[in-house]
Amino acid sequence: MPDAEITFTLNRRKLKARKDESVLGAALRAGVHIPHFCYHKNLSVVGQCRACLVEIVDLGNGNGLPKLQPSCAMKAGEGMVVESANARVKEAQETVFEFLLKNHPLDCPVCDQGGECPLQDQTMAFGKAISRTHELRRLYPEKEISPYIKPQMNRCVHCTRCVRFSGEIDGGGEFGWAGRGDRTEVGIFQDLPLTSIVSGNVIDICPVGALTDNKYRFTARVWEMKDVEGPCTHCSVGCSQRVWNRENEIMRVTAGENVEVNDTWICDVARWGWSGAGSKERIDGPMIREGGELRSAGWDEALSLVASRLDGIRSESGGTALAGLGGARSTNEAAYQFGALFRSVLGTNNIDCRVHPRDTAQTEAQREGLGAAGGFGSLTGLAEARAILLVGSDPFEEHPILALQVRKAHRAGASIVSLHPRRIDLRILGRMHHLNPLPCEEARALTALARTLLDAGAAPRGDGAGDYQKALAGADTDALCRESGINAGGLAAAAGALRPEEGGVAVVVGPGIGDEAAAAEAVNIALMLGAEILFASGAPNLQGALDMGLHPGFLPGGGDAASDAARQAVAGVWGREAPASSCLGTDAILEAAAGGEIRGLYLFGCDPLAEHPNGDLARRALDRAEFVVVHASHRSAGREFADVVLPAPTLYEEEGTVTNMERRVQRLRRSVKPDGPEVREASRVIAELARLMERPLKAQGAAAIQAEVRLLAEDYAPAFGRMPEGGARLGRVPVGACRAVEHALVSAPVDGLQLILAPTIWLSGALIASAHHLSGKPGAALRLSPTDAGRLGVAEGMEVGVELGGETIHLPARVDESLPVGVAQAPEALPGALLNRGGAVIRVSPAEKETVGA
Amino acid sequence: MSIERFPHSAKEESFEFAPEVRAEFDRIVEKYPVKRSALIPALQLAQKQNGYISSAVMQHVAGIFDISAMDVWGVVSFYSMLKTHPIGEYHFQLCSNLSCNLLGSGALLRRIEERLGIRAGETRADGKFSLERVECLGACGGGPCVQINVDYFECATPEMIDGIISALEKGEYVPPVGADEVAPPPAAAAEAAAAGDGTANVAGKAEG
Amino acid sequence: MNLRLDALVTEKIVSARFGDAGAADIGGYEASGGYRAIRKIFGQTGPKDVIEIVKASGLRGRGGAGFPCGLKWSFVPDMDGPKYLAVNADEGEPGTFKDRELMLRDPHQLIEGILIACYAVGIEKAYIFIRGEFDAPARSVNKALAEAYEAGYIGENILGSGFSCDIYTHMGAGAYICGEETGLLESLEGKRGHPRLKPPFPAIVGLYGRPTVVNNVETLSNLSHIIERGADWYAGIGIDEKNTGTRMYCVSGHVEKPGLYELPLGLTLEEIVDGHCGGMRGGKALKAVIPGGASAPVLTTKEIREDKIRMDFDALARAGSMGGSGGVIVMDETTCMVQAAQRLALFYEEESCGQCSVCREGTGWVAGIFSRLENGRGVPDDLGTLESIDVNMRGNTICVLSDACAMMFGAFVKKFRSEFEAHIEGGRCPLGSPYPA
Ligand SMILES: Cc1cc2nc3c(=O)[nH]c(=O)nc-3n(C[C@H](O)[C@H](O)[C@H](O)COP(=O)(O)O)c2cc1C
Ligand code: SF4
Ligand code: FES
Repeated sequence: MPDAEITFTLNRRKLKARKDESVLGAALRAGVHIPHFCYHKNLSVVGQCRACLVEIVDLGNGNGLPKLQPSCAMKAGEGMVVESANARVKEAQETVFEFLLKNHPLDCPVCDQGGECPLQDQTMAFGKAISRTHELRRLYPEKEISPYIKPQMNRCVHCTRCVRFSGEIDGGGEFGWAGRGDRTEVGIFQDLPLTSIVSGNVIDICPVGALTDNKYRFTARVWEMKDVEGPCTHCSVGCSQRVWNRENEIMRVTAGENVEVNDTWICDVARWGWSGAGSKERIDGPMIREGGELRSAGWDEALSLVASRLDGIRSESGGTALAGLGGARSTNEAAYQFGALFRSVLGTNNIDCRVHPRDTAQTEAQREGLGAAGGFGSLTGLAEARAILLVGSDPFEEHPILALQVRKAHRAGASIVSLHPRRIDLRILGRMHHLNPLPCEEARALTALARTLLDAGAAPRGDGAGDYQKALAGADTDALCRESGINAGGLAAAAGALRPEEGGVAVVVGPGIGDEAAAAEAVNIALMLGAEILFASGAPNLQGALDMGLHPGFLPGGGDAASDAARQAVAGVWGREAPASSCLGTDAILEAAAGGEIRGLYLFGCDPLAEHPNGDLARRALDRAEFVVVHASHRSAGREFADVVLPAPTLYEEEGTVTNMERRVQRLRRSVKPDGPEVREASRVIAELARLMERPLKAQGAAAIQAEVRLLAEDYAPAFGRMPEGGARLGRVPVGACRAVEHALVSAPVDGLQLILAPTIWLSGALIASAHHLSGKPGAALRLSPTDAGRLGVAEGMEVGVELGGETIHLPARVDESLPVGVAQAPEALPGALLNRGGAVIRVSPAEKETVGA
Repeated sequence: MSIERFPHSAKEESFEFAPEVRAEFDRIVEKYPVKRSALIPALQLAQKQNGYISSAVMQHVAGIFDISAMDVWGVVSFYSMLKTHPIGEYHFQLCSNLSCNLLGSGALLRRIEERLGIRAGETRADGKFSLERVECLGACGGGPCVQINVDYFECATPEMIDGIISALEKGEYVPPVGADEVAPPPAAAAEAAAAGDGTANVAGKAEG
Repeated sequence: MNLRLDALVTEKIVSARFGDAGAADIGGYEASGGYRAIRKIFGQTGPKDVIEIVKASGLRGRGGAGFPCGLKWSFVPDMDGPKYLAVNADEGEPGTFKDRELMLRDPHQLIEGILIACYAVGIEKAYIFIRGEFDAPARSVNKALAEAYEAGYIGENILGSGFSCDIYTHMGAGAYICGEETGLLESLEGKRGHPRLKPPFPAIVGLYGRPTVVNNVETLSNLSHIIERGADWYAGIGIDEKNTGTRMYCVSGHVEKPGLYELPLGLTLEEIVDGHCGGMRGGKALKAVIPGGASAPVLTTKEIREDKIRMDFDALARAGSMGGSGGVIVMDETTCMVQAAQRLALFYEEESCGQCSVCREGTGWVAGIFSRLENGRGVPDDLGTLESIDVNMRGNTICVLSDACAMMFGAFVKKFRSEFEAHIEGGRCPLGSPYPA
């Protein structure tokens, strides 16, 4: 908005400032350095450090200000004349540095911040060199605050950035300051553990070496490392991160900046999850099963075996006897090649990146209601929304930086409505509405909400609008509330908060939504509200993989596999026919494999055994399939069924692009070379297989693949052209159509606890599971309400037996007020997959104490 | 320079408002359009009930206000009257600021320390007395001033303190003149003024 | 400028009832003319006119800054929604003890003043922020509030005027900085008492983000009299039109009769010390006086005895000091100036809120230097260092506590430099630290 810009003069230079921008903010953007400590562009302004004092020579009205002003708190005004480097200002700045150094230890040689410390740098530039201090320096008692953050509070300059981050951005308020005067001390409440999942950001924003990365400490100096900026690939938000390496070894990860995605924040999984890339669980070379055992093999041998067996099955039973699963944890380029291998080389549409059925349910709802896979909302839109409806989404657990965007909207005044069995915690007070349906009853609750919104004036849209409206009008809100277990008063309040007449709503559908009816109803509501809708998927590159065609019914670019025209278009690019037959999705593939119709299975960066809720089906499928290829970076349970194991790089080691939940395509740059000489780029391995089958893929290498994708998925063209910094978001106009949903039968009252399975970023995938830096984070536990805990005689931390279908596993109990009575929660993807069935009824009892022989 | 430790409780302890205290708190909350304003009153009530503000008190209060325990600790540690350690049944606060100092608060401090057998900042082992040096109590005209619990003892002399402590040791408490009446009757005021206790030297009145 | 000296009548205004029996009770207050001022204006005089009266009276704030009271009120925007009055009864400035007596002895006078202020500015809720240690004054005010509610002077539709107002007390918890008006508001909001960045000023964005007036107890206690007897009457007391009315001088230290003296603005300090306070204790010689609370730069015998400094806002400002809170601390020849400065430096170190680098580190640094000096461990550089810290601590912080500290020690170092040098040269306090802490 150029009209909102003003012009002012800084040090005789004309600068532009945005409306309401501070002198400091505008100066820093223009590359004029004014010293500062407490100011941080993404935190509130407090003007406490006084390092940024400037002289206001003219306010723009002919008058100056007698006192120096903190430029962080001084709004730039039209015609203002400011001096930040004259003698008077320099003197004041030097003063501030002298005061700050009064109690700051002179331990730069052993301080981790050395080389990237504004106090060190700015003191050199501005401060007085000699110390006039004869007093002892302040010493704070040493204390631990977390396994991740090492406090050295004697170095603290009390800028309170950590305190503000914790209160404003994270919301937990776990950092604070105590005492007053020169005894003021920054820290956390010692009797409680630091629970924030974004805690590590305080390390980045601490301007000195007071809060340091415990994992990185003493391992390297900043000038010895190179850093590579790009998207994080641990979840589908795709925050910008900087991966710092030295001699092909990752030393640390810090936050990058992307104002449209993550501002300057990343979560702790991003910051320390990289440690999984170098873990012992890495698959470091190809392996072949021989005599029931996996043995090491060379690439040639392994690839030939894969090529000959897959091609053999194809010629014996046709492409329909083959299936490929996975690809949502790889680059777009590798995903594209994976699809091309199955469709054009092996002649089958049995390919699916949606290993978890919720992803299938959600994409089907998207396809029906929005005309394509994926939503059409943006993270910026979310942060700027007036009201947000979260459906089956628990952002702090699943997509921590998404949680920060929701909180940002809330800070700006947005109301938040959450529909989730649990009272999710966004660390906000007020303007938050909770609708807590019973497990698997989200659809009915959403229909009740839709009906309430209809009454409030929201209008269905799209083709089936009339039918939908009729169906809704027939819905009995009271009965729906009763059956789904939500509170009718709460429902009215929530609908009121969404205020359909005002617009500006954003809807987020999270991985907690597992049935298509619920996903479809969420789409209906978004359409009725004219809201942006985002699907926050569990798998990091699910959207990209879908766009690349890893879906049985969608070709790359979204063309329908059943459409001749679409197939011809693809065939034209591939130079080979695209198959028309057999479009099996994950569940059908697993069933077919378990039934013997599918003989060959290729698992690319996925493990249905760990990821699919029906672990039993997955086990039968893998067991029965004649030939199973596991192509992955890390060992996981499925490996025991593999006939060939192919090592894959992690995304720290790959080049290419990924697409986040808002369809932002970002470039991934290799930070380090793969761990071990035997690990090869995934897309090349796939291409090599095609070559061995003597039907080579046309595109070789990232550039050629991207050129092909551009032909098929036109909207990817800008992203693959000159990609802007921060990536290119591919917008989409929904082909919206509301349609009535069918509800499942009303479930009978249960005897026992109903289980909800919570996707958690902590436990998402083998790489993170093996990230030893994250071992200090809380592990898997069974959470249950205080009432149930009391009734069952279970106390916090006690080991409980969880019985399901005759089998029992043991987990520590957590008493959690956010759970309703009768509902328990366990993390998804628990080892053994026994518990992987959401909505199941479990029995919990205090575990028998094993008596240890005296 | 001593820096107060962040709260750390080794032992399990718990705290909850007694019903009548909770009721009083509920009345106080009504005074403010924003609940948080009642935080310091809540801490004052908790301190009254519990004797001091323990880690458990802070966590309980944090729960009531839906704020972090650290936030509460930040507030508690800012204010000198909120105590994070047990204090004595009789808490002596001796003003050490300039006016009282000029009138002998230093000597008084040593006398009190001697009599109580504790140093400033300490609590006697039997929990009966604690002593603290404080900044200006706002009674400079009657310096040196000692505050014992809520009462101000002005123009304090070592002898006067001796008497007070002896009485307290015996379980007798003699509040200062006028502590219970809102304003002393004129005669008492004049008398006090004549005695030079400085409480009522209001111009005109004191001059006769 | 002595034109108006005849106007220096020695009439008591806010302390007039101090000796009266029952003055603190509603009956006694009413009997001596109380609650007549609000009857006079409520429903009769427009709020804007009340502001004009107060402006015309020349009443200046008695809390420290001496800001014209009516002018401050007129900054409050005329807008819908709640506005607040925060009564500053935190009385923490060393040497000051007047608000305590005003609350203890004449609480209804304060309440009536609050009602007038609220009426003038259109405020319906007032909080009296009482320093936590002031138990007896708080009890007195609470009792008076209960009586006034009972009598219908507070609450809904007061005296049928259509004006409603609630008044509450709020106890502080021990922090000098909560006397600073925005620190007070933060504390009243249940937070650490950190002064706020200004602008915006409280009149625009104050308590709970709403327009707020902050006034001192003594300032407000004057209002009923101004309303009743008129702006001209009030403006006629005092030395000139900018220094009107009386002040409650809180005299402490080495005088024969320390105590609270309500005197017209414009007497000389000498008149107050020698005349009203009975002279120096034990006939000792006067050495120095702090004229307006700890932050007011110290005055020397010469300034007092030869220059005959007057105790009004402007005369003190011209002399490089200030009227501040009215706390007059008198020191005789037995006092060590280094020690006195050290005592006050420790106070600022203790009471800095700690948010501004300059103040947090500066107050500690200064206290450390003074302690070394007094203990005979000073070094020759120290005075130069102090002089530069003095400059550096001024004008560069969020509130003026930092400036106050600098003004305090700067004056001590400048005016009594030889004493400081003697400490450094002799390696000990020449007077033997006469008043040990
Ligand atoms: C550090 C500091 C402490 C203060 N303490 C008090 C105080 O205890 N009482 C008071 O009335 N004003 C105090 N003030 C002045 C107030 O900020 C404010 O100016 C005053 O309450 C306004 O009321 P008035 O205009 O009626 O004087 C203090 C100011 C500062 C900077
Ligand atoms: S000047 Fe001192 S007391 Fe005032 S806000 Fe800054 S740190 Fe706090
Ligand atoms: S950056 Fe402006 S005061 Fe700290």
